[in-house]
Amino acid sequence: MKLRRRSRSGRLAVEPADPVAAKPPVPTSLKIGAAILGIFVVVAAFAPLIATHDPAFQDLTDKLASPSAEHWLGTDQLGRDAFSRLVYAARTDLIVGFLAALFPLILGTTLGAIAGFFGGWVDTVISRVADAVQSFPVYVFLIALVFVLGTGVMPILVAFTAIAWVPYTRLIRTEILRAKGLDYVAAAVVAGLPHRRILFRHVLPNSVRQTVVYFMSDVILATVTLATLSFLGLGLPVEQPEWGRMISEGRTFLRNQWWLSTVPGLVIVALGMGYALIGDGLAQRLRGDG
Amino acid sequence: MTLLEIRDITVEFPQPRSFVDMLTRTPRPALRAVDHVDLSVERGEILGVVGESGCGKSTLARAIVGLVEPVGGEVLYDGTPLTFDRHSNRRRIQMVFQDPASSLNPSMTIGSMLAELIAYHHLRPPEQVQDRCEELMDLVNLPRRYLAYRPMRLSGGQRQRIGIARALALEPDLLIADESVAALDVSVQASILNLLLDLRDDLDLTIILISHDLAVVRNVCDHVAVMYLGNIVESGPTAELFSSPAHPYTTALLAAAPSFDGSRPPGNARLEGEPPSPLARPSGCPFNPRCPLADDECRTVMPPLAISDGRLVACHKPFASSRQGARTAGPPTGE
Repeated sequence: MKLRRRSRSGRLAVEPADPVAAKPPVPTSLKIGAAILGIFVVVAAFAPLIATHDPAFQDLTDKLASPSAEHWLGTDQLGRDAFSRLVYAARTDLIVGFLAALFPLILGTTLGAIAGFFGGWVDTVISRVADAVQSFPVYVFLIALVFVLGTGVMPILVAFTAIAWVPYTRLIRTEILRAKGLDYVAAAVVAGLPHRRILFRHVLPNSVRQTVVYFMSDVILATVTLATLSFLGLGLPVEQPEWGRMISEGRTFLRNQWWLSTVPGLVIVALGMGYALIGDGLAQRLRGDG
Repeated sequence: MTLLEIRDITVEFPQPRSFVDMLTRTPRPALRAVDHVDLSVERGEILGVVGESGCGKSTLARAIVGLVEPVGGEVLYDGTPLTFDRHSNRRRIQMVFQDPASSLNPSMTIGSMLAELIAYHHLRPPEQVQDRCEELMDLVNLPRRYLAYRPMRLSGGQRQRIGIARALALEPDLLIADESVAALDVSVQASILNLLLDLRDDLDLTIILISHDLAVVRNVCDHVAVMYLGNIVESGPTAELFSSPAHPYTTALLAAAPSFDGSRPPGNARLEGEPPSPLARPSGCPFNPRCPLADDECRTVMPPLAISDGRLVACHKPFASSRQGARTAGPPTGE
């Protein structure tokens, strides 16, 4: 193998043919998940048009009615139209569930990025606080916080943010520590790029993939937890339609009016599946073959 | 003319110490990966650095580009000490990494990757950045449309070309190729080496090629430095070093590489044992525990890197070319 004096036309090697394939298609799970979530968003947005009744209107003479042409899902123990309440509840559950996962994402990612990139005592402090928060049982901590902070959307968001940032911090911190050891970060350092630019252009974009996927499962968790809190009579005001509270209230009548609890339960399951499919599809797409 | 001069560089990695050591204030043990290395690189040459795994050749490269901080010594670039603050001339020394899979940012397109570097260092006015990116793709013989691709869609050899293009984007004088072909197929290795040779001629580059592959170094490099346990044990022009190695380690290294014609370099070549841990360096010559010629002087006194027979050798009893002539059977294998 003598290379030095070989002319350019007489190159030794030919690289394999162009391996570049067509862009990978959008994963089916992502399409289905987006479709499910899309239906929920449309329902929530056009709730006044879709609902057949005023969700707060009580008709005690017509309570616990069976499904009929008038009341598609019957009425609850106060004679309110179950279908309309189900539709209006989509607003609460979608927005609160999403925000209750988004705020922890923002806080956790920021703290994790700081801890991972700068290390040292900053890292130690953030990591130890994360340990401390994680050492509490989630539900007990959450219930205690909501109980102390009172009723309403804000207390719920604050409580979720105070607890749920931990996994994001851990994820991002670990990812950043890993990315810091990779050659493309070294290359950026050698190229003389400043730290902030390396963090935001080269380290973070490659570290958030898992976080995005985790976020999708966290939205489900937040939605279900919100329902759980309402089920326990905590968090949102009593009169606000919410699926968890509908399940809780219908529980008493499970023997005869089983649909009062079951339908909101199925709706939560469907929404959860939608998020899960989106998360799965995003994971596939973000794996780098996009 | 000397482009880069490494003077007495030492790199150490502190090791974790146990809790008891901490209480008794035992000093932190340090792994000395590069030990008082002197090396100079002439403008326009290709210098090969060879040695087995763990001998410190990559650490030396990382110290030159500022990825690890040496505990002692200095690097002179064009006669002035190299500093690693932002506006120094560090962009003039660029590196091509070993693993093409991890050396490119997977979330950026090739074009944005190159454009970022050109724009950040103001190497071209904004409207010419795109042209420059295309020019770089031409330089490394890749189609221009790859600028729109992410690294995931390219093969290993193509990614290594992108790695070279990224280094060239900063218009360096010195390119350090750290095992840059080791992860590639042999045929692709040849094309990448051809590319480096062409670039050296076209762009007046100086290249430090770090490799454990003697065939690569022999065919490409003008000068070779052999490293063992953090020290340079021998350096000199490629042809002479390969035809008449002076240091017993070089001899053994050359003998360990398979050859077609069955010729053997001089000396009792088979090496016994493993290189010692850089945490527990032997006293005297670092090679003495494995050297067939070692005596008491070798075990106590560290041989300096001294001129012997037209090259630099760190050995108390180097093979002289006269002895070499008597020992080799068969035709000389050099160029």
